[in-house]
Amino acid sequence: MGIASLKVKSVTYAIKLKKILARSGINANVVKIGISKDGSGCAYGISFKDEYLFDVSRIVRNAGIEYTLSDIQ
Amino acid sequence: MIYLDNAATTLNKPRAVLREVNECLKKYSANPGRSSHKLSLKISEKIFETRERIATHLRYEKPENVIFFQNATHALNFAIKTSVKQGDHVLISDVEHNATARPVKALENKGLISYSVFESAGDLRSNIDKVVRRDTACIISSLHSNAFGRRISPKELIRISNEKKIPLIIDASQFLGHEELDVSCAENVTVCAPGHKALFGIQGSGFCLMTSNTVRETLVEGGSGNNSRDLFMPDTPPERYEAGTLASPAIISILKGIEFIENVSLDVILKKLNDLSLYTADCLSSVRKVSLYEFGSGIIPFNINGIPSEIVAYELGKLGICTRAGLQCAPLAHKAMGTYDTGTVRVSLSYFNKRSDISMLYKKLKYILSVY
Repeated sequence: MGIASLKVKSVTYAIKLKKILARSGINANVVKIGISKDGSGCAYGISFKDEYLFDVSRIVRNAGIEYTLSDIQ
Repeated sequence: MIYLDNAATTLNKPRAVLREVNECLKKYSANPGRSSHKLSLKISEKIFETRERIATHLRYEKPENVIFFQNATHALNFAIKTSVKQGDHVLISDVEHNATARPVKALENKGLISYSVFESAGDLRSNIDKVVRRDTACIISSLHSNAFGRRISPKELIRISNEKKIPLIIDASQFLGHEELDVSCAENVTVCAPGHKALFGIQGSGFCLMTSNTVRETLVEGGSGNNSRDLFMPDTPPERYEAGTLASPAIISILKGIEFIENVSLDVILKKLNDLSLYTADCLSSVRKVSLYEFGSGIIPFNINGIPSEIVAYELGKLGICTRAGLQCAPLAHKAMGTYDTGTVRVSLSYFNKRSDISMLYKKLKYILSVY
């Protein structure tokens, strides 16, 4: 089992997403994502167990929050 | 000291506000949205919670559309200056504070816009119809005059804005914390307010809530904590408009202030203010030589015939009663009310004032009259 992370527009959207996921019973952490991933510089996202990846992607899309899949460790 | 200058800043804050600000300063006032350590994330989450609370308080579902500024003046400058383009026309009410009147005048002075003033008394719709134009880009209005307490109906303003498809900018500085403001059916409204008045926050933070998702120009650029390689500001709110470090303790004080207000309930607060306003007006009108003007929402302006308002306020101050004299930064309102040349002494109340405060004001005014 690994950890997945999604990058969102800012810390505000990361916290918003964390709260939305919590309402669906998914624990996520707000994380700062490394600067070298896509060339845009500092970014925030959420990390969660990768078993929830499908559910998280669906919930994020329904919430209208823009994201990119950042990393699966 | 009896504090009757709450329309400027409320002095007495709920204990929960003071406790949380103290806790924040002592334990978690790190820089929000910049780092990955626990304290930075904690303060970021508290700020988000404040955005949520403000949005919910105004019956709006997107907390990210709550933008924090230094105060209501900065929020209004942002709202006004990012809502107009060269050649636009705007409407402002005849009781606007200089926080609205001055940015509008500055834009006119630069040759960017023109503006007209609508009467706030009487039938709002027909008053706006008299001055609205095809090129009117926005209607800007306060909901309570800070000088006379005149109420301008938010429901009516929102209806007019929706029907005419003209964006509305609301200065809710004297309104929030006293009455409910529901923007759920507003198509394009920007609500601006400070934290330090009836929301019981501390000085240093105001906000605007935008119901439109249109990307606006930025007034200030700088660090936002994300996409740092990009030399342009982010394209989404709130970070797009919040360059630099936020006033976290002040923002969090708004969270606790709104929690207090909702626990007490706006109905209870408004009833107390209205009762106390009537009692104040009764006391003042029974003092010899006192002229009373339009009042409401805890704002009661008066003059003592023959004594300049500044002298009355100064003498009251010496006797331990804090009021505010002059034009209260609202020359348009004083023009509309006929007190432009004299100003007024403004008594402004908060939920924490008591009848005994007003009784003391009454006694001190009688004393001033006896020796003047």
